[in-house]
Amino acid sequence: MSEKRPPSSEKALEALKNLLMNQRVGVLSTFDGVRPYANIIAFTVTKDFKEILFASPKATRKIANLEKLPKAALLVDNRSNSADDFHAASAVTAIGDIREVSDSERQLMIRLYLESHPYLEDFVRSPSCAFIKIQVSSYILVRNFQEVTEFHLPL
Amino acid sequence: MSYLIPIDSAEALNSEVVGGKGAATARLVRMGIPVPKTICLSTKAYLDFLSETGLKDRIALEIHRKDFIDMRWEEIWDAALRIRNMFLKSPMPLSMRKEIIESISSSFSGNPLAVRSSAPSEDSDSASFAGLHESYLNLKEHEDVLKHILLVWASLWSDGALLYRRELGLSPSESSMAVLIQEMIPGDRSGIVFTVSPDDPKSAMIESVYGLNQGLVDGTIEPDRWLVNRADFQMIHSMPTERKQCVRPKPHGGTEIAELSESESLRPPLSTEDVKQIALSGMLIERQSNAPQDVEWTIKNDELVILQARAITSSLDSDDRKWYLTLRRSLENLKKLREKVEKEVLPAMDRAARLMEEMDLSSWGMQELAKELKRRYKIYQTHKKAYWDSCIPLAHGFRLFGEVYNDRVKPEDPYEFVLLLSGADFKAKQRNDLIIKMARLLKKDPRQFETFKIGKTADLSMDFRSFARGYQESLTGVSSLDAVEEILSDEALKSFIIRLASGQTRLPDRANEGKDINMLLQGFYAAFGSEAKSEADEILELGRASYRLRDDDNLYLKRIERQVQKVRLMAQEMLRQADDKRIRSPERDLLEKALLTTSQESKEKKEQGSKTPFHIKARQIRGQPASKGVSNGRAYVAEKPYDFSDFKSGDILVCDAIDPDMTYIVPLASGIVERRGGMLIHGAIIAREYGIPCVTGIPDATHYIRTGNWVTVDGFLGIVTIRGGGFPDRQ
Repeated sequence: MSEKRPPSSEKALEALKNLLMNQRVGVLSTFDGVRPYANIIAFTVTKDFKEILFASPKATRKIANLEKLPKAALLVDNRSNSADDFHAASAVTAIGDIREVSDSERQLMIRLYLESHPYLEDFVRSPSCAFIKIQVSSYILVRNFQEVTEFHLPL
Repeated sequence: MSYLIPIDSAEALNSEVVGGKGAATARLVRMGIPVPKTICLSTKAYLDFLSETGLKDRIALEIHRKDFIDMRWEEIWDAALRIRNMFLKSPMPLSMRKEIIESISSSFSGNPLAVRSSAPSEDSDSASFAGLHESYLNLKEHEDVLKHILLVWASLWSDGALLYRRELGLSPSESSMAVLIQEMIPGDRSGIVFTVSPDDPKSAMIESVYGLNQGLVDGTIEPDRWLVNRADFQMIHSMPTERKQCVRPKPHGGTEIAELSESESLRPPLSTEDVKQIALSGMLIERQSNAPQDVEWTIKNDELVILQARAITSSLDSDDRKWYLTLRRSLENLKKLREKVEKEVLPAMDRAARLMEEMDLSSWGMQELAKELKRRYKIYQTHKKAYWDSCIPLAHGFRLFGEVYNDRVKPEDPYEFVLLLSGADFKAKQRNDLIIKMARLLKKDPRQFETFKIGKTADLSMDFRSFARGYQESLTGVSSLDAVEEILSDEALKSFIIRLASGQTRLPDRANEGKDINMLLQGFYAAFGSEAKSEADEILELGRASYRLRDDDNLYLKRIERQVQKVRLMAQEMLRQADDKRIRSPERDLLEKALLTTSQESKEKKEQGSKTPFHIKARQIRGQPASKGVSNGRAYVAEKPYDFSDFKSGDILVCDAIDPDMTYIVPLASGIVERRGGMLIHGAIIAREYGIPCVTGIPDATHYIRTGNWVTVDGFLGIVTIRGGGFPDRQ
């Protein structure tokens, strides 16, 4: 999709790409219908930004939650735990549905994931590990302390 | 840790510790040049103050409200004002306070003092900051010195200093500031010597005024000038001036402009011998410094004292820094500017507009019209230049008032001063009041309302006619007997009055009327004290006049613009008719060419559009908080040509800038979003006048917001939230 964009959108787009391509971990939020839950995951994003990939042992609370409610939000940010964060840090929340990784795409996606996290090879290939993708419907970027830009992906 | 560095110590030669001016003064001391008694407050004091008070982080947050590179000057001025207030409101750590007071007491035996900025980056070989940071003279009490140290520190963050650093690619966050505390020399005669004249490398130039140097440096007092040969100090040329005034220390502290005595005004401040002696001192400093120098000096009781010396840098006289310097204007300079605007610029605009308004063009042909269009366009350009040269800078009058108010009163809200200015009546508000009065008359009298609706003007009451005349006169400057007809011919305005009168649109209340202005006024005068009442009067008067003129000058120029537009429209219509009749003639070409060369359409920057899978939507945008309050409403995006027939009471007005043509809509809006930035721009001023939440400085507002979107305007924090569809959501 190509559209006429003002410079502020260009800057926001650049900030979004920067975060998704340079950060390695994010905070995944899930919900089992009663209690919310959050935990850190190692992720990678596909080149078209439509999918986010991560791996997790199957017997975890997040997987249990996702089985009950296959929706998630992932927060990725570049804060440095200093006062500068208030103006210098940006954060993006990816929102989407959990989809199974099909057999046909599995090898390709694992390769992509391992390009970002080569040290996780044994972990990802373990039979007890689930390899999961988030089909992103939107990204919500916050920068400059309170500037919020939404990026919607067609379903 | 000692924050105070003696000027004769080895440390005083380190410009990282004592700043550029401090190190230069320490070098003068080593050369044996007479300078005022000086101690230096190190850059460490500034840095410790920032971290101990937490100001460092608060400033960072303020300055990064938006991408700094995208901020307009007005927004930077606003940020600078807020930062200046932060400095004034942050108490100095007790240990630092104690050390400064003890050092002053032991170094200066109770004489009045001067505090001067001395930033490490100042006056390096590649860039000069001369005049961009503040210095203050004739401070008598310790508390005064402490307060002015804060102001010198804050001047690192003034609008001019911020913009200049942006231009040079320097980060103000990494800058620091030392302060020189000096004995004040109440000079009889003062001046500057450039050891190399800007116009002639073989000569040195000396400038001199009576009294203190301040008037010369800020451009208020015109100096006498001399050119001397650098080789033998022989006089080449002297350029006397018309001497009238000088700057002298005031008995209770600070400085003032005083009239010269008759004998002083007849006699140049320097004799030929004085000129030679000053040139010689300048050359001595140049030789020891290995670079041409710009030296400030003063003479007290015939004794020459050097106040400061700095190398003349390549950029010293660059137009850039000069422009940044114009952002600081003295009270005297602004008073003169006000006189010029009120007595010359605006009357000239009024005359020009009136002459054009009174011309009857109905029988004119293509050739005459082409000539007239070019003539009017030229007139418009001339007055537009005068507007930029004089009217825009006059806005510094209320900025100066704001700074003085904040310095004296130290209010929590750095924009409290605007309430004192808004007592001034201005034309846009007068016009709005007249529209409301017309609507009220119609509302009360159904028979007259019907008459108005069908356009039977003859039956309208005298009162209505008088309001209509007042409206038209305020808008065009001409009192017309056909005022009612002219209002009826403006479809948008007519339907707006009908909606107001029929109750479809609520009549606004005047929110700010009588709001604590008297209390603020009392506080302002109390902060000056009875002995300085006339000073307070003067600055308030200038503030109010410049605030009112800032609004009115818009209207005067608009009147001229309208007269250009009128001929343009006539020309376009004439060409259209000629096209219909397929007429081609040299006259037609002439008119077409005139239309083309007088076109004012701006070429908007091309928006970028690389490929992306996203549909990008702004959810929350940050601008400048320009009028307090929060409102939710349907967005109404104003686009040219304006037509407000769809505008509903309670809508949020989203626009480039509030135009004189649309001010009548403002009282009905529940919020305002402006692309242009700044607390003191037209839209912000009117919004505050009516107590309507307003956010300014969102250049992409009209791109992201569509008429019908549900929008929240947070005028406290400067945030606009776009909630989507035509209804409020709870996301």
